[in-house]
Amino acid sequence: MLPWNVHPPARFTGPAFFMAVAFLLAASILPPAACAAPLSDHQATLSALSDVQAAIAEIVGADQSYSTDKKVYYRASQRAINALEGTRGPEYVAAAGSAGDAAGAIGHIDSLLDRKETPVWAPVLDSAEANIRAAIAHLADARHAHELMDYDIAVSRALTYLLVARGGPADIGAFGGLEGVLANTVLGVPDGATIADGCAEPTAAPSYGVHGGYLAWVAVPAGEGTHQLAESAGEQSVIIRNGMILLPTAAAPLVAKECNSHAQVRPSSPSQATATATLSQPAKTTASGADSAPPALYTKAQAEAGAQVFASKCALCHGANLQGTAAPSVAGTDFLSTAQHNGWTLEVIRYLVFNDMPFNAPASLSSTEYADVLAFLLASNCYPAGDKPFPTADDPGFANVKLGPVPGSHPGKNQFGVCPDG
Amino acid sequence: MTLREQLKAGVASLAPVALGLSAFICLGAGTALAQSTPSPSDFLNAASDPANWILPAKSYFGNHYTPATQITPENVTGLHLAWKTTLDDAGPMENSPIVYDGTMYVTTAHDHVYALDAATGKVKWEFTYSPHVIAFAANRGIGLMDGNVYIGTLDGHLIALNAETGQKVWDKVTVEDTANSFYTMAPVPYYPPGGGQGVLLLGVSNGDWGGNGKITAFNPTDGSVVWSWTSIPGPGEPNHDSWGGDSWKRAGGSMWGGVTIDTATQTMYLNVGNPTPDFLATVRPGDNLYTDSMVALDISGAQPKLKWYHQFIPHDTHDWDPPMQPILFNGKVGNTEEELVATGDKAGNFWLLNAATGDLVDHTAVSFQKGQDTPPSLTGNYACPNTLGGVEYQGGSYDPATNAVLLPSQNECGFWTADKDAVYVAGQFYIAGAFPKLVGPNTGQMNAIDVSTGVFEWRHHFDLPNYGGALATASGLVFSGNLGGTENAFDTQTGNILWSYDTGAYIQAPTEAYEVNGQEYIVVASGAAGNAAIPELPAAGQQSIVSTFTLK
Repeated sequence: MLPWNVHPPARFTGPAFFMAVAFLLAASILPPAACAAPLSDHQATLSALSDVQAAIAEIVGADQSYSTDKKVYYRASQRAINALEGTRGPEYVAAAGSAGDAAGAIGHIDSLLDRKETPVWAPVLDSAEANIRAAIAHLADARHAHELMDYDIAVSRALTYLLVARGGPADIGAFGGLEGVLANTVLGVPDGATIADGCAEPTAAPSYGVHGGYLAWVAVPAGEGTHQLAESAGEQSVIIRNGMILLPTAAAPLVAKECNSHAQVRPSSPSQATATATLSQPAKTTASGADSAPPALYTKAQAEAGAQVFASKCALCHGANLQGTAAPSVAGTDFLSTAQHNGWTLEVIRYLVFNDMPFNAPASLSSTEYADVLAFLLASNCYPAGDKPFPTADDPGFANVKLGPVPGSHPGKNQFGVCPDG
Repeated sequence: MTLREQLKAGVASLAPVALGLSAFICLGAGTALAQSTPSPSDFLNAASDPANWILPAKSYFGNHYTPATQITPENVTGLHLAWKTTLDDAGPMENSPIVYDGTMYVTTAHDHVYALDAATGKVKWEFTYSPHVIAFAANRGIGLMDGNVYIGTLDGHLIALNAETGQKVWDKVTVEDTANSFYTMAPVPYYPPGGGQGVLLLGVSNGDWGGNGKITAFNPTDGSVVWSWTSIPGPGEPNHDSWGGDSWKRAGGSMWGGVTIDTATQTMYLNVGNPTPDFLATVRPGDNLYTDSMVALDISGAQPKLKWYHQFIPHDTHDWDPPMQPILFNGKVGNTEEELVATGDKAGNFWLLNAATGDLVDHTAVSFQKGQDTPPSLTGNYACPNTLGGVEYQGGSYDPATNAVLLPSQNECGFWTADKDAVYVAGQFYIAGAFPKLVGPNTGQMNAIDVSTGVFEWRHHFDLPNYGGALATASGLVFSGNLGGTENAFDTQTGNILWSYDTGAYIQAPTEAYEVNGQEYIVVASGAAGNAAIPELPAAGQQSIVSTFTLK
């Protein structure tokens, strides 16, 4: 079995919501012509996505060829690299031809990022570029694989990075990737389209509701016929109002919050814009996110009580210093980098602790004890304490709290990256 | 004379073959010293060598049986501690030491490797490591081949160390997805009997974390893949339809127990792990082949070919896989001698199969069984054994003198709950429920099962689980470690305990025997209890200890 059978097959279309948006944009999804005029931001983003999709299609196509000729696979890797890097990349080899255009995905992203201001989509594209570069490194390995299995491993890893770079329309954070910024930010607004205030209701259709760089909704004229969304993506729904079909984006709740809490439009700096959705920036963007304050999710008293529970119920396997003995580490550098890499949210960890721990006696502690232990774990991972206790009941908002290294300095942090005193 | 002809010519010509090959390896591998590791013929003849213990279960046959006869039922009361070495890495000790030419190689929970003087316990070299742990910190040992020590690690690396110095020779990530895949089993060296490239056989641990099981033959010179075999049939392959819908994509079936090989026919016998998600079986309709099965693979060609499979538990709902390395032996069933293969599973079953066909010869329940037909529910229900009960990975032995299989088993029950949905989260268990809550008491047995009838010849009941496998000696003894920390010697004929020693830490590792300078030793590792911890365990140290025993 080839490893990428595990992944969903690469498609040029994302989930249905994105298709709906893409439908509106159909006219603009043409390969950029080889002309001198610079591309609009929207077109550059589409071209970058198109290059990433072409690279994915190239390597998936080689896999499906079942060819026994190594050259087929080497050539596909090179063509994918060319599509990602463009003619100016160090790994570019003209002879193989490119699955994409001359600028390459990185060329397009660099052109978008090459500006003074830092729009809300900049950290997402930054992260997409980092993932594309990681994919290129594995594809470069794949060009020299000795046998199919090694090729498969290298390409499978490249594919994993490319899928993150492609992202999905339901995610407005760093994992949203190119599809995420197209679905949720001004980059998704086609050239010449009607732009309206994202905080207000639409008054005409088609139009695009934008606020603080985010795209909150797309208004579609309502008419007879079927308006079908095969698959709902994240929090999206279809609202029919005033003879229009309203498609709120994944960014709509964030925009609504900003509309309500701020009289004026906030500057679109990435740290402020994403702080409500993600606790930590991906490694590539920690510099710009260092001043972001993660939310305070527990009280100091809870963490102190949790330390006692941990010592008696958890430390035997997870270690007195939280670095693990028989079981994994639960705080510090190893834990937080794994959490970030695997995309763990506070919801995942909360569920696991409440329902599956301790290993040989799951769900055997009181909900107060479990809440205290989670407070202790957050403190040990250098998250700040506050006035509001960690809840004993589930909080749906935890699904949006992505775990990772907390930016900023943490006095007392030990060599394992653990904050022993919270 | 070709190597194949020389091997066929018999034992007399084996020594020159070994020497010739050694010289070749010395030239080929530069610094590697071939005499520091076993030769192809050493591996083929491992079962009959009383001195060295060079494969995890003594030989390719999976039979923890030693021809060493110095320690006997008559003199075993004189057995005493020869040496005890404490290793500087805390965690459960699940290691099968490898002993060759006076050097013992042991590993600890976080993939540290130690080369010890087998006569004194003195550390010759130490390799330390600090891998990310996905779920369980454990390592079951090394492979010794071509001048190198090989270890598969908890972060998915295959690492080659110089056997003389412990210096790293190469290091490669060989799992496909480091988020959910790791290694705990010992890489198994295998040279095709006809000559040719030797390989390291290694199964990945990924089943309970949303991966699909795979056993791979690696080239020991660089870690490249020679072949691999996946336990979950993909689209177009036979038995793919035993998985409903897309459930085969995250299906489990790890092959992380041992590798048993009939070297005469080049047939590999492997146990395949449980299907996933473990506790919410409604999302994977069907029998879920080849999970919870033994498979026989023809490994004589470029790719393994499935000869037969025998599924013990179709559509498992409780993580009741057969983790024990199969024992391949010629035993008497009724009045006829047959080639048999025996194993056990975590549901508390002992299975005896015909080695040529996979047909069931006999089945014996060795643990208390209850509630096995009811899947875990959202509100929870009871079943026995729990995931740490029944027959575990440490294995057993076949004693030709009594025509009996010696095998420990556990009585543990659990309260199980399933989740509403199965959600894959990278790097976390993909079990859709919780591992069972212990409901006690937790006890164990040592069993002698008559191969001829499938009936117990004797059973010894312990107050605590008895994970330590079974080592049978040609002199009529069975050694096994009890979880509480006591190493015991039984009389194979009667089941009477003749000798005991408290090692001071919890025993989960199998016992082995070896000789240095003509002197026989018994060795067992002990350490933390890890996930085998139960409320009734006595207090003991958490240190990682290797204890050896000898006469005089």
